[in-house]
Parts: sequence; C-alpha cells; structure tokens
Amino acid sequence: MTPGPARMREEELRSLVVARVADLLGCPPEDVAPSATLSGLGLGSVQVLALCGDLEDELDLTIDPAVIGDYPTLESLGSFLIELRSADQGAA
Amino acid sequence: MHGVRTLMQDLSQHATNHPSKAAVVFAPESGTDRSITYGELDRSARAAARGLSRQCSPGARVLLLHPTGLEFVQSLLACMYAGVVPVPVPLPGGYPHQRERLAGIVADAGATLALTDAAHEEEIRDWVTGSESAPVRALRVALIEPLTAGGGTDAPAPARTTLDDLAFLQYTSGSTGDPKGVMVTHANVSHHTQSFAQSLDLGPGSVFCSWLPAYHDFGLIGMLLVPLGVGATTYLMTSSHFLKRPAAWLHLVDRSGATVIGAPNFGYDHCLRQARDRQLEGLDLSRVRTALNGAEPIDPSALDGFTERFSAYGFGAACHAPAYGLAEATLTVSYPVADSGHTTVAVRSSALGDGRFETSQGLPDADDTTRLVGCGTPREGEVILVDPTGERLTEGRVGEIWVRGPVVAAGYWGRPDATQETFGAIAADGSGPWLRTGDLGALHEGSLVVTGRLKELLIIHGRNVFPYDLERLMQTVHPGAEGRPGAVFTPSERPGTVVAVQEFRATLRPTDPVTQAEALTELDSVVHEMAALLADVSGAQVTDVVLVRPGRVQRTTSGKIQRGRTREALESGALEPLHSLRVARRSPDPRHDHAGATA
Repeated sequence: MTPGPARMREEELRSLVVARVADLLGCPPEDVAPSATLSGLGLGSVQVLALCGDLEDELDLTIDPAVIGDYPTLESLGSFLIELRSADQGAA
Repeated sequence: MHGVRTLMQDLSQHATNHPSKAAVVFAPESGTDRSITYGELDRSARAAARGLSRQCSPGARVLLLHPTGLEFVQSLLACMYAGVVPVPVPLPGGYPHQRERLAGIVADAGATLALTDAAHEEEIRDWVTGSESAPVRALRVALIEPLTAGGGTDAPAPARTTLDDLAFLQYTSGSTGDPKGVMVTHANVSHHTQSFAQSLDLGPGSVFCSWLPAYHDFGLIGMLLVPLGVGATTYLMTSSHFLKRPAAWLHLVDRSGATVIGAPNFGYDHCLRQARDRQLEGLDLSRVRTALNGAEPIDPSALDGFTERFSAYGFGAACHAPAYGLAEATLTVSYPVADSGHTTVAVRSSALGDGRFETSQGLPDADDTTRLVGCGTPREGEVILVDPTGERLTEGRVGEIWVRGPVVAAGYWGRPDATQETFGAIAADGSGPWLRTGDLGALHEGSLVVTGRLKELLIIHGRNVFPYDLERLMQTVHPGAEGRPGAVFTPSERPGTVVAVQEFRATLRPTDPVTQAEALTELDSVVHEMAALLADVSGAQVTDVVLVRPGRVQRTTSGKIQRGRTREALESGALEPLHSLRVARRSPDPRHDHAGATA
C-alpha cells in the first residue's frame, strides 16, 4: 500500500514528482535532476498535462495546468504541491 | 437518407423532425453536462445569424475564438446561417508563437470580427488591444450570448446559402509565418457527410464522443459536422481534460453509449500509457462500433496494444478504422467500411526507400521489415499514385498520393499561386486537376497504405509542424548557434517525439581545465533552453537535443538541410556530440538553479 495523501511526507512527495517525470521520459529517476525544468527536460504539453492528472490522482488535489508554468523546476513544483496540500488540508 | 444539400438544410430538418433530441452535449471537467437540442440549436443559431448579419456583410470572415463547447457550435452555425465565413482558431494562449500564428491567420483571412463568449471576452479583448499586429488590433469583438438571446423568427433564410458557398476556412496548413486557409465549401461538407454516413452506417441512432479540438478538421468535421448532418448526438469534452486523464474520455464513451469515437494515433497511445487499471473499473466499451484513427501516421502496434488492453472492457478489434485524409480534401479520403476491421501489412523497408512496395513473405527479416496500416478503400473520389514526373504507378510501387473528387476543397484563401501548385496538378496522361497531397503511399489489395511524406513535415498530436519553424528558433537560443544549421526530426524509435541536432560553437572550451566547469554549465544551459523552446512551440516531447561541431549537420551541396541523413548519422553514432539533453538531464537546469533552490 502507498501511504495516504495526508501521511505522505515532503521528501516522498518530491521523489514522487521525480518518479512520475522519469516515467514519462522513459528513464530511471536517478537520471532526472530535481532542479531541472519540465520543458528543459523535453516534456511536451501532452506529458505535462498527463503529469498533472497523475499527481492529482495520487495526491487527491486539483491542479490548474496553467499554473504549472509558474513552477518550472521539479523542486519548485514539489514545493508548490506541498503548499497546495497543506492549504487543502487546512481548509478541510 | 442524406442527400447533397447544405448543413443548414439538414439541421432545419432535424429541428423539425426531432426538436427535443440532444444535438451536442458538453461534459465539463467538473460539474454537470450541458446540452443543446436540435430545436434550440437551430433557433439560437438563426437568432444569432440575424444579429451577425447586421454587423457583417455576406462572405465576411469571422474568427471563432471559443474553447470546445456549446458556444463554439452556436457561433459556427450562426455564421453559416448568416452567410458569413467562420474561421475556427485556437484561443491566443500565452506563447508568442501561438499569437504570431494567430495574427498571421487574421491577416491572411482578412477577418474583421472576432466572435467569442462571455467567459473569454476579457482574454480576447486583451489580446486584441495588446497585439503588435494591425489587423488584430482592428478586430471588432462580439459575444455569442446576446446574439443567441435575440428573437429570431424572421431570421435570414438559410436557402440563401448555396452549395458552392464557403462553409468555413480551415487553417491547418502552412508554417507559422505563412498560414494557408483551406476553403471548404458546403458541397464539400455535404459530400463528406454523405460518404461517411453510407460507409460507416451512420444515422440519428449514432452517438459520437470526442475530445478533439473543435477548431481542427478532425474534431470540427469528423466529430461535429458529420453527427449534426446525420442528426446524431455528439458528446464533447476538452482536449486538456482528456490529456490529463484519458480514462475520463473512455468513461464518457461508456456513459454516452457512443458508437463512433475518433482520435489521432497518439490519443489511443495516450489511453494505453496513461489510463490506470484502477480508473477503468466497470468500463464498458462494447457499444463502440467505429474508432476512427487519423490526422497522423498510424502505428500498428498502438492499434494492437489498444485492442489487447481494452478488449477486456468490450472493445472489439474490428472497430479500428484507420483513416487517411487532409484538410485540403475536407477531412478523409480513405477509411475502412463499418465492421470490416483494418489490415496491416509487413513490407521490406529497404525496398520502400527505392519506391517499391514489397511484402515480406514467409519469415520476415525483422531488421528490414516495416509494418504499415491499410486505410481502406478511397471513397467519394478517385486516388492515384504518381511518380515525380506525374506518371501513374501500378500496384507494388510507392508514389505521391493524388486525389480528385467532390471532397477536394476549393483551394487556399487568397492564394492563387499556392492553390494552383497544390490543387492544380496535371498527370502525365493529361488528366486533372488533381490535389497533390505531399504524402507517399501505395495501393495494396485495394487498400491505401501511407508510407511517408514527400516533403519533410512533423506531425505532432495530429498537427502539422514544419521542421524549418523549429530550426529557425533554435538559432536564437545562443550566439554559438546563430546562423548555424540545425535539423529537427522524429527519431526512429519514438514516433511522435522530436530530436534536434544543432551545430554549435562553444564560447568556452570544455578542454581547458580553468574554464571546464563554466563551459559545461553553458552547454547544459543551451540544451535545456533549446529543449524547452522546442517542447513549448511544438508541444511534442523532446527526446534529445544534440549539439555538434560545425559541419556535422548533413546538407546538400546547395545548403538544404538533410534531416533524414542527419538522423541516420545520429542513430548510427557517427555524430560525436559536444553535449546532449540525455546527458544534461542529470544536471540542474542552470537557468533555474536559483529558483529551484529557493522556491
């Protein structure tokens, strides 16, 4: 069993982002630098939307694909998701 | 039965015969479905047409700026009823290249009015007032909602529009700087619908389900005008909804009871890769009869993979309907008839290159075998294959696909020379005019098999992308690339993705121990930036960006880039890269190092 969204720790969330991006690129996670950018890694628009959908499902969040561009690196996207999740849980 | 007459005549008849039947249902990403009946669609389009007629003279070009949804359909039909020419286009979006292309379309079409909806008014007005393009700034903006709300019993009579009038302009052709609008007439649309209806056994009982963009020929004609013409119901969702969660489309197909679905090859592949088993519980695809597949090269393993995965959910292999077509021929030229299934053929790759179509008999040599998909028998017209001198070729030879017949469009808007070149081909036997498609193919047991392109063109997510447009952009990234040739192409092992090879002169030498680290950072930065630009502009996944020393990109003696030969050189390992994205992915993107560390 994967840990539930509420219990997932921050570093797990960051490695989840790296793992999902590596899946989409078809390479091992260690080949993807967390400080790399999504488009700089070569992810096209279809992959970025697919990533959004995956992360929404895994984390039980709603992510506006339009804001992804504001968090270009995997690290900054991870931080954004952590904030989004705590805001979500705060509101609940 | 459907006859040759305008779409408005068909619609009026459906509105009379079954006014309360749903014509279009839009399924939003969250919230409940919105639908419009034939009666209401006919009434609201007539009312809006009346208002539009006061603002535009007949034949004026009107830009349609809506996302997929009911407003798009109302605006499109309002234009047709008013006798003005709709020009469906994507919303301006945030990227400069999208805006550049859109501005090119506005200027080329001579559009004077932009039709949008209340939800997008602000975005469109900002785009119009902030544009550097004079034709864009001159656009008037109108909303569809107040137009449809107007009373409309004395609306202009649809009969005013004849079959020879333009139904719309379709801008899917031409590069960013040189967009070309295909003039699709009402006769084209009607013939196309009639052909589809007969071959695919369509009628009011059919249900369509689509995520394709409505401004693009496949979504617009195949999944909207065809169902409206035959009096069927079509379910629409946005492409971003599908791309995020392809399972949502499959569930809409189930829920709507769709009998006809459609997507380019990558859409079926996206379902395979991205739909998770846990998202598919209870899915029933058994009512699907036809799964159209068009707008990009078809990979037989994607069809097989889709069948294998989704047969467990009731999807039948005989539903696959691989199609061949192009906007210049309205939409489709060739596709299998309903329930017939598709054929794949294994041919010798080495023979293809020499223009020969030789099936691999017995035990094929895997290294020299290409599997290709048959796109059924050409319909509503005539297809020939010709050699470069215009001589007709017989079965067993590969040639350019030429088409003539009632689905061939009237030409490119305002472009007599380009129209003559593409639509006015004369064969060596004197027959013509033929539409030259630029695609290569062969006839095999009566079925059209597409083998490639005469001219280099990338087809990404069903859209045509010109390598030249991308290569031009790569040179802007760094002075080391400026004025130097580059080649963008699709790698053999990953169809639908792009690879770039760019000649580059580094300003810092990686061999000098003093500047080594700095030099590598510079190269990292360049490949990341090129990858980002290519991904943003083409929308494709960029599998690699390879920097090479000057002189390594293959060219003809006249300086033309040879993309195929550059690809061969790269894939055989002959290029000796200075640096590449594959290597740089492990390094931080220097352009965002600080943002990444501090965010």
